[in-house]
Amino acid sequence: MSALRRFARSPEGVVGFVILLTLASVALLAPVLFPGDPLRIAGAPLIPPFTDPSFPLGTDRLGRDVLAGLVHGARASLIVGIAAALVAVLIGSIVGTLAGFAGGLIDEALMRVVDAFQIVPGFLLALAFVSVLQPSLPIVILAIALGAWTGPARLARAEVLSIRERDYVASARIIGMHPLEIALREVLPNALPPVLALSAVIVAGAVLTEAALSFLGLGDPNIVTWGSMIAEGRAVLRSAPYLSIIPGLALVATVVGTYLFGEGLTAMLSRREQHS
Amino acid sequence: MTALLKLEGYTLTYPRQTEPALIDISLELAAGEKLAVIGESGSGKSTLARAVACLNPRGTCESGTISWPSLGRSAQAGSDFGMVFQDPGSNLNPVLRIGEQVAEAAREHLDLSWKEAEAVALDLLKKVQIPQPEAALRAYPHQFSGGQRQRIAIAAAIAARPRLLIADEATSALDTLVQAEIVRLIETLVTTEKMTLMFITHDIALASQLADRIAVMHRGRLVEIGPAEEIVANPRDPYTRHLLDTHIDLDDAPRISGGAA
Repeated sequence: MSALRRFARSPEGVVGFVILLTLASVALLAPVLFPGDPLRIAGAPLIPPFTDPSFPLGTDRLGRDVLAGLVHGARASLIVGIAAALVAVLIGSIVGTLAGFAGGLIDEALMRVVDAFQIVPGFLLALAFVSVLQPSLPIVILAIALGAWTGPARLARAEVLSIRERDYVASARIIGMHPLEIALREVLPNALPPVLALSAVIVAGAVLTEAALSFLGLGDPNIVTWGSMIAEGRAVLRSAPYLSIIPGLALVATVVGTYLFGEGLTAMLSRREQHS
Repeated sequence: MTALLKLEGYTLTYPRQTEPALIDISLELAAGEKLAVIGESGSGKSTLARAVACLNPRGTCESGTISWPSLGRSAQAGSDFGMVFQDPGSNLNPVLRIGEQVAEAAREHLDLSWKEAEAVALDLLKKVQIPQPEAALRAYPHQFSGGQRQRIAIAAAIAARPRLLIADEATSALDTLVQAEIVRLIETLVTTEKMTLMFITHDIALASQLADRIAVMHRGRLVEIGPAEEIVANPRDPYTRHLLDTHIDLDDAPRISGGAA
């Protein structure tokens, strides 16, 4: 309860939360708001926005409803963003915790793997991964997580290095808990808060990476994504710029919303520290 | 009667250190005995406690032996020894419920289900006199005071009914009233549960009041060990005498006199 109140005290966090909530509800309600395939041809091609009441945001050059695409695209963007961040935080925090807790050779080995992933640009890694395998939603999620798990890993390890010296970890050793159990049950939950604060930034990055992959034609071809809509509009950029601008604005809103939400989370966590 | 714990010529050097932290320690601890280890900061008291509890950092250089003659095997953490630490702020995990932390050792060693272990935990919390033990099971460490946390830590340490309880400056961070309560609690528990106690402290008065025997440490060496009354009344080693002399009691004559007159 008090956590909610602490969060509510940061205005940026509340704004971010409202934006994300709107996006999430739109994404969840997409099949109700716009039933049927958003990729089907619904009307005349290239209707400009705000001219035809049945197509408020107009149609693209094949006559597909832009608003329907936008709403259905929110699903892909949010799913990919959140799932990729989840996978990245999960892998990262486990690897970081094990490295920090085990120390010695295991630490060195795991952190060199982290280094190896970190020196390759995340987008390039995702691009290579998707072009080798089939571009489907799970593969895209995995590809993005592959470039994003190193941040959480480093952060978790740094936290664990200080946590493993605390007395309650020694107590856990003394009552005879298995080291792996100590690492995952006693240490990992205490190392999580800063990693979770970072996860909002990862979500924002993942949404952008997914859009970029779709823009290059490496997204899942069977679903609408904002990236593929921008790419679609590129061909008629001079005559109908709105086709690229509208999904671009949606992207901006999502990224800004996630980022503000992350700021709110960070503020909440730091307030807890001041409090205790 | 064979000793519970026996150290023979035990020497320990921390990693990347040239000076050993413990030098040639030999002592025996009989079952049911209460031993106080005293000495100034840096004398090696805590190192000794941690060495007995197998908590040496990686890369520590050891020689000599620590054995458990009455067990006839190496000691198992939790069921053979338990430990209470100094800092009540960090000896409990902030994100786990009290019930979980106290039940953990019981579940691990007594082969109980979570439900049974929780009953054991409730029993232990009553034993260490935590108010509203049922509610405490579901509470988190930050909801308790330092003294209460230390009681909970004691409950967690004795959950698997260890033979030896090691208290590493367990009362040093508490005020004198709470300290007296905790000492009384440890004393009662050790007597009723028939445990052996190794009590690390820098407070010689506390040591003489609680322990059967006192061991005096100085710069990593065990300089003197003997029955508590004898050490206090008739110290043989000059360092022990020095420690006793520097101890200030309320009965002592005032050291600053006539200043205000």
